[in-house]
Amino acid sequence: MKRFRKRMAPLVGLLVALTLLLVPAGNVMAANPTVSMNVTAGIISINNTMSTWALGYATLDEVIYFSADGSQDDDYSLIGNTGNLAVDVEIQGTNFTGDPISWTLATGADKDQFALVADVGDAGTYSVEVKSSSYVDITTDLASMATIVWSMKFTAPDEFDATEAGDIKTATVTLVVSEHT
Amino acid sequence: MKKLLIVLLCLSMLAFGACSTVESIAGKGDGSIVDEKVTTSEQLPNEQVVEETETQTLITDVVGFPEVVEGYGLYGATVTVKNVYPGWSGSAPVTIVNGKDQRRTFHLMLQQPGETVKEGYAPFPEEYFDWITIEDLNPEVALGGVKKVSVTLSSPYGFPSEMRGNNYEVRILVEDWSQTGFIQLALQAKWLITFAD
Repeated sequence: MKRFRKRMAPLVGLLVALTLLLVPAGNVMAANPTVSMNVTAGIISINNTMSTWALGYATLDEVIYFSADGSQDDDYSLIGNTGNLAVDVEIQGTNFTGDPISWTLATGADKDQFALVADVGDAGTYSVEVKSSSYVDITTDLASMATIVWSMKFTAPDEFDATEAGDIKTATVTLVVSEHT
Repeated sequence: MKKLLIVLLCLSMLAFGACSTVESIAGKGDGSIVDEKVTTSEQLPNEQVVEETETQTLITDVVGFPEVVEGYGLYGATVTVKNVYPGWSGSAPVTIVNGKDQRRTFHLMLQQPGETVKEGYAPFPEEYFDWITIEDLNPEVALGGVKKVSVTLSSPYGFPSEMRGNNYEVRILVEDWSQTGFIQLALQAKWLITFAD
């Protein structure tokens, strides 16, 4: 037994030293403020069929549609939530440039008109409305694996110039998708 | 004597155990911003939460989610950060999961939330966007590939007092620059940030 104690003495000393060294370090760290970070476990993903739309030829004061071929039929865009989280879909107008037309996306109260307003200076403004009644931001809380159909129409004002419509064809509309709030 | 030895051995093993966790976390990350000041960790099925002081890194792994065949997906759609104090810095990745249809080039940028801002949160002021850095603004992702892009929030020591105790939301827009057509898609990750009183 005595021999055992003699042999173990250095080991015990080492363990005591290590314990004393490491335990106080943990106590000091625990006293500092704690920031918590966490992330939603899930993936957002979406697809959009019939995404290549064009603005058809328009004459004065005529309603035309953004569609695959510019016709006024029931063309539409189909958005599908392929992730496993519910999502919100909003519209952002980007790249609405092309002399003499420049586009801005209005928000707020005008949103119900889809409010893509093309400012063409003296020629006034164009308004763009959503054809489908499914437009609500376009949608909020689109469930996983659910789909939504939407489309747009363009109401040409009195001052509409068909040559300017060609510029509009180069614009893009971006659907922005985020996890449902 | 034997009992004392066993108690000391257990204490030492516990202490060593805490340290080895830190090392394994640092080794598993994307290596961009991982600090040795990490003190504790919690392994969850599909997320990993790391708590520490001053610098913090959240590491995520995409496991067991629906396969992305076409288009792309985003893992890390919402990151919640609470109790951010002056001088704190933390990172979390935006993980882009590319579909098997094509190689894509993405563009990432910060945005304020639109009308779907979370209730009780205010848009993160644009003038402070420079507190947030995105590791790679234009990542390319191979067909069927996964790319983690680290996003870091660095709160300055002298941040405005009116931000203390308040909640802010900021979005990270992930756009596919390879797409064409009139209607395009973009995904947004959210950071919900609460500053300490």
